[in-house]
Amino acid sequence: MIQFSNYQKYFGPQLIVDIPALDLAQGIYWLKGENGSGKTTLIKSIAGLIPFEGNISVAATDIKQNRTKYRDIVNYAEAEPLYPSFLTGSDLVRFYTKTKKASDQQVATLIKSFGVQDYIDNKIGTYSSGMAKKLSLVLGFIGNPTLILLDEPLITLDVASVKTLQDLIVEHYSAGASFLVTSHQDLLNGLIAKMAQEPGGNATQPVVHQFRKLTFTRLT
Amino acid sequence: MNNVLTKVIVARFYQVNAGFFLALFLLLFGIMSGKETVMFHYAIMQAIMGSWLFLSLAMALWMLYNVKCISFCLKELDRPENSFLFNLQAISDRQQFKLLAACYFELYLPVIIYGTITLVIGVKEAHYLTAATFLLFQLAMCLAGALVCFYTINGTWKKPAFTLPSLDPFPRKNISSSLLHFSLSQRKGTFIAIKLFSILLLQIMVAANAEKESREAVCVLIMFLISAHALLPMYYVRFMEKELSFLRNTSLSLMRRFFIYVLTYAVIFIPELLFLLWNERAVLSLQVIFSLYALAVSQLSLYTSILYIKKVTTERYTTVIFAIFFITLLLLAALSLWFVFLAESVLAIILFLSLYWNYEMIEAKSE
Repeated sequence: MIQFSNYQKYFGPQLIVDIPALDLAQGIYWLKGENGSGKTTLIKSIAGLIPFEGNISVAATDIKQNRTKYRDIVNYAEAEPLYPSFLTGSDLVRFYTKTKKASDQQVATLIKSFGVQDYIDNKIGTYSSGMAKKLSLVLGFIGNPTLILLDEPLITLDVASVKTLQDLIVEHYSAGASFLVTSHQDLLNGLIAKMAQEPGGNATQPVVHQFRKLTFTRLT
Repeated sequence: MNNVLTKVIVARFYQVNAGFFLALFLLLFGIMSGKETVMFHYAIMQAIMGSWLFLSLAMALWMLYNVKCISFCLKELDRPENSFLFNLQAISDRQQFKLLAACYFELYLPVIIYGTITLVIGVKEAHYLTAATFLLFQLAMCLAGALVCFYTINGTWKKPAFTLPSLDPFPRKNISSSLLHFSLSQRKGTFIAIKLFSILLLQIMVAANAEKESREAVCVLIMFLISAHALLPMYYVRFMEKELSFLRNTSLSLMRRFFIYVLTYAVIFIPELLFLLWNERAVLSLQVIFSLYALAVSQLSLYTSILYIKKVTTERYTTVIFAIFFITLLLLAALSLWFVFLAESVLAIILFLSLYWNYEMIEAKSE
C-alpha cells in the first residue's frame, strides 16, 4: 500500500531518514522514534509537503507522477495545526470538501462527531488549540482517502474526542483505509482493544520495521 | 475555493499594502486639481502609447509591481498557516490555473485599470503596434504571476532550483548581535533586497544632484530610504519575542534590550553612511551626513518601540509608518536634523521603556 524506494531525507549535510526499500500492506501503523528521529519529516514527505530523495507511492500512485490522484487518496492532519486566523472553520471545511470531492453528508457527520458544529462559523483566531485540533482532524478525514497520516493526533484533545477518533480510525480501517500514526501509547492501546472487539477482529502479532531511529509497528 | 483564495491572498495583499496604495494614490491623484490631474495622466498615457522609450519605462515600472505581487504570493504560500492550500493539488490543472489566474488578476487590477485606459487612448490615436505590445505585456504579466503560484502550489515535494546560502560569516554569536545574524541567515533575501534598493536610491540621488544638493530633496530621499527599511523592525520584534522570548526571563536591563535594536540599526546603516561619505562629501557637510545617519537609526528605533504598542498589526503599523513619514518631513522642513533625531530618540526610549513589559505577542497567530 505504501511503497518506499531509496527514500532519503537530508537536513543540510545530515541524513535524517533513510529507507532503501519498504512495502507496507494495508493496516494501522504506529510510527515511533525519539525526538529528532524524523517522524514528522517522514509524515510530511509522504504527504508530499517537503522535498525528498527517492520515491514514495501510495496504492501504486506516486505524487511525482500523478499529483491529483495522490492528493485525493492521502490525507494529513498535522500535530500542531495552524490556519489563517481570519478564516472560519466553515471556510476551510468548504475548501476541503471541494478539493477532496467529498459529500456534504460525510462532512456534516464528521463535524457532528467531533462536536465542532458549535463554533465552525467563528473565525479560527477565536479557537483554542483544542478546537483547532478537532477542526484539523475533521479536515483529515474528509473525502475518500486510502491513507490517513495523523501526526500526534492526541495533542490537546479531550477524552470524548479521543474516543471519537478511535471509532473513526476503526471505521475507516474496516472500509479499507490505512493509517500512519505518531502518538502516545494511550491511543494505540485503545485502538488495539477496540480492534479485538470488532467482529472477526483480532490483535495480531505486531510486525516491526526499523530504519535508523524510526520504527514502524503494525497494529492490525 | 475562490472565496478562500481571495481572503488568504487578495484581501491580505490590499490590507498589508494599504499604506503603499494610499501614498501612490495621493502622489498620482492628490497633488493637483481635478482638471490638472486628468490632463497630467492623459499626457502620460499619450506618451506611453506614442513613444517606445516611455512604453519601456512604464513596462519596467509595472514589472516591478508584478515582482511585488509575485513575492507577496510566494511569501503567503510559504506561511505555515497557509499550508492547507496544498490541497489545491487535488483538483485538475485547468481548474487550478483558472482559480489562480482569477486571484492574480485581482492583485494586478490597479495596473489593469490604468493600462486599459491607456490602451483605449493608444487605439484611439492609432498607435496600434505599441497598443498591441502593451496588451501582450499585460497578459504576460498576469500569466507569469499565475504560473509562479501554480508551480509553487504544485511543487511542495520538489527541491528548490536555487537556495541562497547563509551570508552570516561570524561563527561566534552573542545576544547583542543576534538580530544581525538573523538578518544574514533567516531573512537574507529580504535584507539584501532592502539594502540594494537603498543603495539604488542613493545612487539616483547622486546622479540627479551631481552639482548641488537641496536639503529638502535629500531629506525626502532619506525618508524613503528609512521607510524601505521599515519591514526589518517588524521581523526583528517578532524574532526577539518569539525565538528569543527566553530573554524576558533574564536579568537584562531594559536599556540593554533597547540597545540590541539600536546597535543593529547602527550597523545596518553603515553601508549608506559610507556611501554618503564617499560620494557626497563635496555637496553635503560631515555634520549633515552624520545627522542623516543618526536620524535613520533613531527612526527605526522609533518604529521598533511602536511595534510594542498593544495590538499593532501589520496594517496598523503600515499606517503609522505612513503618518510618521509625513510628520517627520514636516518637522525636517522647520527644524534641524539633530533636533528631530533627538526628539525621535527620546520618544523611542520612553515608548520602549513603558511598553516592553506589557507587550503580548498577538501577531504569531493573526499575521
